[in-house]
Amino acid sequence: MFSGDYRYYLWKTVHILMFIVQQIVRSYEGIKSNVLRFCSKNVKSEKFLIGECKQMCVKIPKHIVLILGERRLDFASISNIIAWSALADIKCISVYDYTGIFLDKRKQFLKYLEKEKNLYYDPSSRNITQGSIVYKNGVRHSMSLNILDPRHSKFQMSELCKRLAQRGESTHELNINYIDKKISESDQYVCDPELGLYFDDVCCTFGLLPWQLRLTEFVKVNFYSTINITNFLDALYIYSKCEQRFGK
Amino acid sequence: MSWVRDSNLTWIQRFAVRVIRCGPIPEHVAFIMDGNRRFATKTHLKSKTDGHVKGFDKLAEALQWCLDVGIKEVTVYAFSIENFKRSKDEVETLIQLAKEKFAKLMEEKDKLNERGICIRIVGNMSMLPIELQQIMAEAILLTKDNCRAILNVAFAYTSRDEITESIRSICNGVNDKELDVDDISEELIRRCMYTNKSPDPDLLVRTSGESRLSDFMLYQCSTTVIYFSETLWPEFTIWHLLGAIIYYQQNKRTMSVARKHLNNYVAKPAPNTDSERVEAFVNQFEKRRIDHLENLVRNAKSNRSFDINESNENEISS
Repeated sequence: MFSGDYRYYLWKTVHILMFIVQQIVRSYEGIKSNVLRFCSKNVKSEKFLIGECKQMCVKIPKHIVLILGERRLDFASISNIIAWSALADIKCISVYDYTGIFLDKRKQFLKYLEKEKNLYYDPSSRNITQGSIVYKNGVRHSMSLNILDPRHSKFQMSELCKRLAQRGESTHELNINYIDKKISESDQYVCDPELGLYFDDVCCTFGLLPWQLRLTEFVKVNFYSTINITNFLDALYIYSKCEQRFGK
Repeated sequence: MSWVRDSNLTWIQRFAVRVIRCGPIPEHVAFIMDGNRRFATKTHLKSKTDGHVKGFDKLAEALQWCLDVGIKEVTVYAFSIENFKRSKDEVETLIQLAKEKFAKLMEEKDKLNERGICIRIVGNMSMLPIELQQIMAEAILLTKDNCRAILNVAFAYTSRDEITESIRSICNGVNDKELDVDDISEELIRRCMYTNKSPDPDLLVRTSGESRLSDFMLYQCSTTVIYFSETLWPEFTIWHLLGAIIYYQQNKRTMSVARKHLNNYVAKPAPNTDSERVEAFVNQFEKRRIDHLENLVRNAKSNRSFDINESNENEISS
């Protein structure tokens, strides 16, 4: 009995110590990145830093998905990422919140985006949660924005299965390419994300896009309270170094 | 090298295992065993095949660690459908290695049954050479009633193929009037997958510093803790496994909360859903799978007896 308790307390101590170390590391990194940002604020503009990153990176993702977890991101962080992505010529940003809260707060967020970043959201005619980003001067940017919730999860597969079954066609032609084509024709279609950014300590898909996630690189964004440009660019640098072998 | 091993932990490792066991232990752990070829290059092994052999040895060792820790089910990504794109020589070598290892496994069938180990192959077996299919079928059928520890070997597997095949089976079921369109649900797709007998993994470990899922269990990973390790698979140790389990223990609560949220979004069954019809279909689906495996074994046995008869006749005539 005594020895069992002793091990339990030891186990508990290990977890508490790890938690403390993680918090110290997080605070240190946060302070460090804020100090660095403050020091370099007057020297290099965000546009310049992004241009530099684009030159140094071998590849830039076309589609980034932000996987929101338990650690809530403020509107400033998300709108910053959207604005920086627009500057980096990233074609698509998706925001996935498995709780669905972000989708509920969509209108407030889009107002914030408009007010703070001068970026307007033009919803597509097919789906209100998918649309394009438009600059204040009316110039349509080629970047699209998707706001996703768990309906963009396994649900899309069961809906597709129902549509295919309803047709009553022979299943001889049913293969991966056929399903891929059918998914891309759907109103809810979201292309395969190349980079998945997560902000919690834990990496998890939370059910996001099971069909589209096969080659997505998961990168953790280290930040303290609000994400700054260095945190974002670090993630792009990490992605650029990822080498995909496609099974070879 | 054997599939079934005895525990090789030192006293300090055994003590660490006992401490970790004070917390929640994942029931089902999935491994993407990456880095065998890089290990071969790094350690100047003769060929990449030697890296794969080392990788298999590590698998056997890791399975024993999982048993020591109390993990009941393990799924390993051994060979992806995409791996068929590798050079012909490498694919042939890997298939040959699999044949040898499964033949070895059949030699150890008494040990497997004694320890209650169940082996399942998850993947599109029809893409594999018939002899490998037959030996795999034998291993599956022989151990199917064991339940103390379960090993799922993902061979000729990708998640997209698994989803596609599941959808195909369901569409066939609707075409044959075994199912109604209203019976289709996320759950039904899950129940017609290669991995239908396994719960969703609680922890997924990918080695060698890669940070993607590479088409592995995408449908099943919605509340799985994903742990990326920098270590190459042949260099994986019990300490790495314990590190992954601590990471799981730290984040288990987050996963439980996420599961509750995601369950709110699961579509309610349509009014015309007939659960008995669904059960009958799933049972029939499973029966067909077992029948197919039994046919493979039967054909293998008849081929073997044909070969023996033929060689006997040759000996008599000579």
